Amino acid sequence: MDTTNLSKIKRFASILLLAGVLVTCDSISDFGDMNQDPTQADNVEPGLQLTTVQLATAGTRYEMWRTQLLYGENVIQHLVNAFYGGGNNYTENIDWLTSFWNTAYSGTGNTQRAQVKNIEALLNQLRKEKEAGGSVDNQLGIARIMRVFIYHRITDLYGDIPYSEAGKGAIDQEFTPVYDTQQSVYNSFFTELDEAVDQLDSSQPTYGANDLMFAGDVTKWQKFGNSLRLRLALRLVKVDQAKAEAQAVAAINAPGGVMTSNEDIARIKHQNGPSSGPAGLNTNAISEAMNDGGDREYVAQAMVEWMKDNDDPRLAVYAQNDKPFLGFPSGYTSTSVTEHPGYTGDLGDYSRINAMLIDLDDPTFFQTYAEVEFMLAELAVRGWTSDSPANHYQAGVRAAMGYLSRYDANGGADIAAGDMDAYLANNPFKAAGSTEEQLEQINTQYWAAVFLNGIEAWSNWRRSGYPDLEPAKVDSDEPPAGNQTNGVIPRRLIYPEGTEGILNAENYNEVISRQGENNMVTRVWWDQE
Amino acid sequence: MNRTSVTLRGTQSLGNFSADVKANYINEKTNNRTWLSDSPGNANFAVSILPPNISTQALENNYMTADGREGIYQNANPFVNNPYWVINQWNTDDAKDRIIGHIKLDYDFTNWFTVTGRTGLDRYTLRRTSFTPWGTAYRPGGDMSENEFRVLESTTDLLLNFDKQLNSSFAVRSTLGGTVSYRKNENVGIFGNTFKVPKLRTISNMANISPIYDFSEKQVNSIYASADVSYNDYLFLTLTGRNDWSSTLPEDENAFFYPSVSGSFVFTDAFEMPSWFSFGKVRASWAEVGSDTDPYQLSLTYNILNFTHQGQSAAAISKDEIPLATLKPTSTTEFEVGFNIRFLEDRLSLDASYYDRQTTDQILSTTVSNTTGYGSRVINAGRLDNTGIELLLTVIPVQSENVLWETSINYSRNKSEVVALAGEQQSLLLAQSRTQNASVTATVGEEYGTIRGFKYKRDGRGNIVHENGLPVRADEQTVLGRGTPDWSAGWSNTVSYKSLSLNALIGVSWGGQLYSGTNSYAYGAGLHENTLVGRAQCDQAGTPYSPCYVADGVDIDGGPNETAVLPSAYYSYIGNNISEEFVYDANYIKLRQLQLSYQLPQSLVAELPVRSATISAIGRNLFYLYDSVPNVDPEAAINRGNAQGLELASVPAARSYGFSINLGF
Repeated sequence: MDTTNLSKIKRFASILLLAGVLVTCDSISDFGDMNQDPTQADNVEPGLQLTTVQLATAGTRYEMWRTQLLYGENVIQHLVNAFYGGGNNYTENIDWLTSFWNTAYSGTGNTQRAQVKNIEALLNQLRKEKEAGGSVDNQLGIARIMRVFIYHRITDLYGDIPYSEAGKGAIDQEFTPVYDTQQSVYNSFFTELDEAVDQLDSSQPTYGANDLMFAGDVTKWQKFGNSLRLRLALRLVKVDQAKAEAQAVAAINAPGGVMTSNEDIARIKHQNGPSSGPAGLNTNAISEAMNDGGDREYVAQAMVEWMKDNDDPRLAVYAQNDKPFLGFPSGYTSTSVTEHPGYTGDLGDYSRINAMLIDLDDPTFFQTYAEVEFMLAELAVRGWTSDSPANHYQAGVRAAMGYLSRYDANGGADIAAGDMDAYLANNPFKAAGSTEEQLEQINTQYWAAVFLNGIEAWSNWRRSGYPDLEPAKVDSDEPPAGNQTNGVIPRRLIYPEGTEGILNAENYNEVISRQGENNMVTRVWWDQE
Repeated sequence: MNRTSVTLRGTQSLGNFSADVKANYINEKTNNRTWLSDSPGNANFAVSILPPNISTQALENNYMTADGREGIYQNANPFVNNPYWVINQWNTDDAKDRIIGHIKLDYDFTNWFTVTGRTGLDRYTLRRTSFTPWGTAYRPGGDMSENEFRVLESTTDLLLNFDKQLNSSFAVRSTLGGTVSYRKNENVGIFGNTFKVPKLRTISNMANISPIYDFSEKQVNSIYASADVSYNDYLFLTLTGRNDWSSTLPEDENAFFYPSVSGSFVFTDAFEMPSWFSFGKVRASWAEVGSDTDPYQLSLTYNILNFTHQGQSAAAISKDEIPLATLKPTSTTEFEVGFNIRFLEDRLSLDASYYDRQTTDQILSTTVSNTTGYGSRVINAGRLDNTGIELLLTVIPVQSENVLWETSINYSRNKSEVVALAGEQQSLLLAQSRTQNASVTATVGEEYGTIRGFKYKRDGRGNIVHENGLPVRADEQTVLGRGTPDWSAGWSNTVSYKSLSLNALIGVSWGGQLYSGTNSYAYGAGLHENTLVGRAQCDQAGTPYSPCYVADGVDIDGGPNETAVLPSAYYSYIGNNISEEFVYDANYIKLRQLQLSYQLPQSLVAELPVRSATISAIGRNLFYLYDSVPNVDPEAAINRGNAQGLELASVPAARSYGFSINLGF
């Protein structure tokens, strides 16, 4: 290396060193936007958040498999899972029992499926926009109805729950939310729905197509808000008849009224992907459990027998219809059922759920028009309205049969008008029956109409007492050992004691001493004997 | 795993100027990394709960059905894979290309003042392909992902060095410097599910595809100064001071300063000592160290979901962690004293130290009640104290021309105390077992990392209380142990005879506990030895399926338990509810390493183009001499980090054997 090169290197080196010194001094404490994640947004349109909240409410395979299917649908004897246990044979599986709680509040590590967290954040943002003078009444009203829908399932399943302080970890730095009594939660629901429905105004801007349920149509939202209020009102018939009546009557007379046709149904349409799998949001959660999860469940004996007895055209839609219908007896497993007197010698003779109802793109129904008609029939039976219960009963049955067409675009799930007529002719409203007989008839129809919505079926059964289900035969001598309820049909899911008992101990211990032991037989407030 | 590495290095020195340039390229390929815990894809999980009447041969022969799907045994939970399906069909391959470069330039102004500028770069690209194969029982359509991770780390320093002998007694060495360090992570990937054509493993063969893109970067700027003063080469004093600015901390409070002071005294050089006292040094130090955190911990942001629904875009809060806008840097203050003494020409030596460490404002991610909407929150945890001792004793009992025996023992003991957490908080959940029956916590007033769970409910005389024939668990969770040991030690022996040398290393760990999820599942599945009790009674009664087992203990009213239950109900109830049963002392004594080496004689080496050659046979992690945990490895953990003390379907630590040839040039 000659001296020219050496001096070049020297000059280069001194420039490099000088530059180093200058850069270090200039920007020593100023990093600009470096700590802002460039792949994330600080703020997004409320509509984008509503879409996520609605998809999260429809749920993912993880929590819906466990809650809707393994407990809800199995406890209520719509379906039977003959292998895993859980709701079918009254066993406590902590992971399954707590899955809905964990996922609804925080998404269990997967934030996009968190219902409470995302709705509280959306409401917080909308309230700030309103304070700043924004015209967001419709967005607020719709979000408030969604919020009540989200929390009503949690409280119905668990009882007293964190509500007034929940989902606000980042908003109010609230780290140990108090458990509100179910009574106070319900009082708040009624106020919220009342105000939200009043707040909706079709002349104001709304969400548009980001609203997957009603495309921002506020009249449909009013109908859903009032129909939901009617559902919640009837939950109270065992604890507070007067309040149940007042709220039910207020609901049907509120602006917009309740649902009047299957066009008003509250539902989310699904698609095959790309977001599928345990935490996938595009697909129908329970369809995925029964397809990809390999848990294509049997239709329960109680359901099949009731439908056979009444010559119900829905049976061929609910169950596999390529062979004689045979319901699986609840409480039995695939091994213990061989001891059942009705066992034919072939497990394959039991009817599984019809594949038509469990496509990945089948809708998730939050509330159907049929349910509303059955509730209106009950109001009439109870004398809270002067309507004809028979008319509402008939409209309910037709709606419950008619809406099934949404499960199959090719008409495979359609029930012909003639079949509906024939069914109603064979099974007319028991106009001459006692009030109890009428309530039993109406609520048994309700039970049949909310097939695949085990959470709702179970809640309505607990508050109405109908249908009169036989407890499953759970004291089987075969493993897996069932029966952790002493043969009683479960009345609730259980809290995640392992985490709440440590992380929110004071509030948790208080709720246990107030509500009772954290097991499946403690009754929630509105479910008193 | 397969690794190839190439290093190039050039140095040049011209007068007062010198340059050092180095580049190192590494290529690493790994196939079939295993999943952990009860994740599908962990073949060990299936094996650990396999019913004994299922032959592994049958599983192996039938791992694939005729139409190419996973073969699972009748009634098996599809989430428990056939282990042979996992071994033969699952695949996670990655390949890493890494380049480490380094340029250093020195200029000597005088013989006591030099300037150094250096910049180092570590950049790698990791390509990973992973599959859930088509036909897997719980995911029939399968899925796959392709990811490319790009990581860049660079450090640039400018140092002014002073090194001067002031007079015959005093010398000073001092450095002033500045550093900029920068790190960037990027991940570009595609995830797809449902293979269109069953076994064709390429991403474009997936029916549903979603993109992945992640990015993060951080920078720390520092300036620092240090001074070493020595007196007659036996008394030393070092002072340092450093100020860091981190991009990860709040903008107006992103600076933190930390000093240190340390001194040592080689008294054997200062005083006349007897000749058997060959070396003696005492030392003491006090230091404060500050540290920052990961980027983007200060505020919430929204993630635009990487899919649409019915044509609509959607967004959600991206974090599961509640951020802390006022995050402060972690500060650790440590005081340490120690000594090193050697006798008899270093044939006996002892090195001992004691430390007392206080960590304040530790930046932790701590679990919160998920009813807050979040799984965790970032906190500056109040204060954690650690005190401990470390000892190293080395003895050479035999040292002759042909024979050398060297033995050494190291011992360490640490005791921690959680002094304060965030605000009023009394307990942090560090990790929870998947069985939800045991957790590792940090609780004020306790040591860090206590294992909590449910004991049996017992009456005043210690009898287990039963209800309906099943044991009742205690009302509240209590401390059942601690995941970290009281002390650990190692004992190494090397015996050499001429060119032959044998080394054995024994490791001991004592005083810690482990909650074993595997044993809990084994109770539920009837695979644990303890579950034989009662089964035999029932079999003798000739009614294997009738409740006939009456467990020892009392019933809920205080009388003796007389209710018969099925053994399967009894043991699965314990597996699901009682944690006490599965917390074991995790004590062990283990032969960590055995190595036999032979140094080739010079006469032979002289023929070769090398200076020396050694051939060794080595076995690592060989076996336990003593182990107090049944059925699983006492060193097991469900994952790394805070979960120390929890185990589930652990992969045993790999035992390795090898040969090596060391050539010196």
